[in-house]
Amino acid sequence: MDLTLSSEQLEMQQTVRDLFAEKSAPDVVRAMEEDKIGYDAELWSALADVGVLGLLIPDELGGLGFGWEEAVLVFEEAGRVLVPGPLFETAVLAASLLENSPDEIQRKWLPRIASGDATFGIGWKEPGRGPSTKGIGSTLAQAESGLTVSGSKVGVSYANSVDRVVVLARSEQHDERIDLVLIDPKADGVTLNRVETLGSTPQFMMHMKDVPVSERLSLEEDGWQQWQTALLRSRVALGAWSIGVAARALEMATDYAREREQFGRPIGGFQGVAHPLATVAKDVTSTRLLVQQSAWAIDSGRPYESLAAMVGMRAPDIGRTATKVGHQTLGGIGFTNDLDMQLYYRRAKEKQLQWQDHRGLSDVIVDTVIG
Amino acid sequence: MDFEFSPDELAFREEAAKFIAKKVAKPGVLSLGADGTRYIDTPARREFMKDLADAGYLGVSWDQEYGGRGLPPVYDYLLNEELALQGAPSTGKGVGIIGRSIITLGTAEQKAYFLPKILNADIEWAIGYTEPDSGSDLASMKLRAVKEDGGWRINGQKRFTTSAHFADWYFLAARTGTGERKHDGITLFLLRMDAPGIEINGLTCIDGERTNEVFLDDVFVPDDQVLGEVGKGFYYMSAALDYERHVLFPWGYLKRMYDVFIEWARTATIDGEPVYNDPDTRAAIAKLSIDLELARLLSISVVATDDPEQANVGSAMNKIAASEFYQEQADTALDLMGAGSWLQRDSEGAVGEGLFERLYRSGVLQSVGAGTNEIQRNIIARRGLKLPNPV
Repeated sequence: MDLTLSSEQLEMQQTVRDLFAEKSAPDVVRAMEEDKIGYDAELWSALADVGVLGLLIPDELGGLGFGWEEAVLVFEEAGRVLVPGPLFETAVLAASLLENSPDEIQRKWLPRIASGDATFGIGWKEPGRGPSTKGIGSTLAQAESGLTVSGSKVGVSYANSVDRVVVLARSEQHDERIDLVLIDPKADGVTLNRVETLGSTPQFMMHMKDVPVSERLSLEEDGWQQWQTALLRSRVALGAWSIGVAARALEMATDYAREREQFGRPIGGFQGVAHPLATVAKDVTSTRLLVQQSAWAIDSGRPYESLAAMVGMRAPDIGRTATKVGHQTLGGIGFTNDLDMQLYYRRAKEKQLQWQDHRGLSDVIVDTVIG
Repeated sequence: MDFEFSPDELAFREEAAKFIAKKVAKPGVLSLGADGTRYIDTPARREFMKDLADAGYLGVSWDQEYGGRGLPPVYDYLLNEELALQGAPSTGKGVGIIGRSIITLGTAEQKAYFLPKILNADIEWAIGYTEPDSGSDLASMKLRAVKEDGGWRINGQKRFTTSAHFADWYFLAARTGTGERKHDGITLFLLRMDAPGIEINGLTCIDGERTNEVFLDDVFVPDDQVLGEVGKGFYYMSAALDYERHVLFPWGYLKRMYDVFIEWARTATIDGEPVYNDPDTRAAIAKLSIDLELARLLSISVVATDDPEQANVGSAMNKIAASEFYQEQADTALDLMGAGSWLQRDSEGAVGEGLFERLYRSGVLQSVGAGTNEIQRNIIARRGLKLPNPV
């Protein structure tokens, strides 16, 4: 057993931390809340330069060919600074989906993701519908010019700037089958309505009316299975992001609790303040290990499904709880926008909600246990 | 990173598992199901400890010069995990905190006298720390030892000395100093439990187990039964408790009770419907599975690190996670098991052999004993988060 990071991993962690410190400082994150695109092109090309965008992409397709252990390191750092941009959607989820797509599609898109030349959005959830297959109401149709898709997707992040959106849609001919298709969000038939969100990140209600499909990712196998597999793995990186958010919130709160005095002593010296922070520290420590273990299981070819589902259920919750405890520790001043806790609090909850699927994840765990 | 134990470690565990399985099959060893075998004195338990000793399973991580196998601490950990998983008694405080303290602090004579007896499972120990007015604030203990010619005279009272009624020896902390900082005036003694002046009064606990009050009235202890330096006892105790906190909360117990619950969930029906189709049961299985895995990870993280400070904070985290899981598992199982869940073992209509009825009772001790969970959170806050010592 060895629960420590290798020297290469430590080096990578430091590189990414330095990069984020320079390009994703809190004032940048705040400024991006008002920005039309929501992230900086310079940051994106820097991420490409250090290999973060091609982390999970094989060498022969322009990536670094690293594993999930490295991905979770990067995503914890990304969570710590709330790095703006479609990093998860592009470098993790789309890359994972593409990895199981037809060769020519892989060869077309994966090198462009790695080089920073292509970004992706994800069109999964629909207004008034749930996260399971039943929730996919968008439909495909075969027109003379080719395949088209129609329907609406809620909260598609960065849809106004990405090159492609992955859309989950139901094939009209075989209405049980869910397909994964790519569309160009600038194509005719797409209407993007910017929505204001809890996390103040760029998101869009995306309406599609006979939008031409540029590629179909799911050719032979069932697209829903392909989606579930990629999403489940990707949740491990998403979980690392939540741990980063939680760890930073805990740091901000404990820093404050050491300095702020009331009743003649630092408030961190009162059990009523210290104990919730200790509980968060325990939960961050254990859940980080769960994230790392899941990554290790994927990389080493062990069964990972139940572990990844555990991450998917618990890690976002730790992000939410840590920022809530963080706010309680900061008291009145934390309630103002002058401090960063409110950013973490809003983003942690938003991320939890965007990707939430408690029933589906719980089924993965229960099916593993009950058999 | 590697979350798996090494092939040698796994082979050791497998061999131990087979051995334990053979021995726990004897009647009486497993009388209490998933937990509670630690403080019980029965002929079957004593024989089981003898079996462990004869096979060389006591003190596997002790140095060879003291009769151990000289293996790294992870082997003791794996052994105790396997014992807990199979519902067998743990290797106990003799080879644990007491033996370790004697190895570190004892004189040559003390080592020669006690260590072989411990390894042979020839003696039973009781630990006397807590007093009626001194629980979490251990350093405030009042039981006093006064120096006299050739030894010490002890007067006072201990409470919650769990094994006092069958122990041979007493590992006792007493106040020997006067006036200075309360942490600095405490000394450790090793005395015979049947020394003149000792009186033991049993207290029956919520789960039917026995603990004790021990009254010491002019008990004489010779000088050669002082352990370590006079006045340093509190620091010795703290160091030993750091170790005990981890050892006393093996994950295997939790896994064992969870397995009983899962077996129920897999096979039981309510109103003819398999319970695993019930949404509340499914949600509970998922939550318990996550909490169990998180407790396991904290448990192995303590063994995996060679940084004592990290091990310390980690074992405080482990203690909280393990005790809270124990309580949650009992509580949730009772909630879901339906009519008869609250019935005791062997009662007509008892569900799951009454295990969770019993664990619901014994769970109360989990968050209190071996340092309350409040004290554990203080440790995390102070040592892990560098906050001021919280009051």
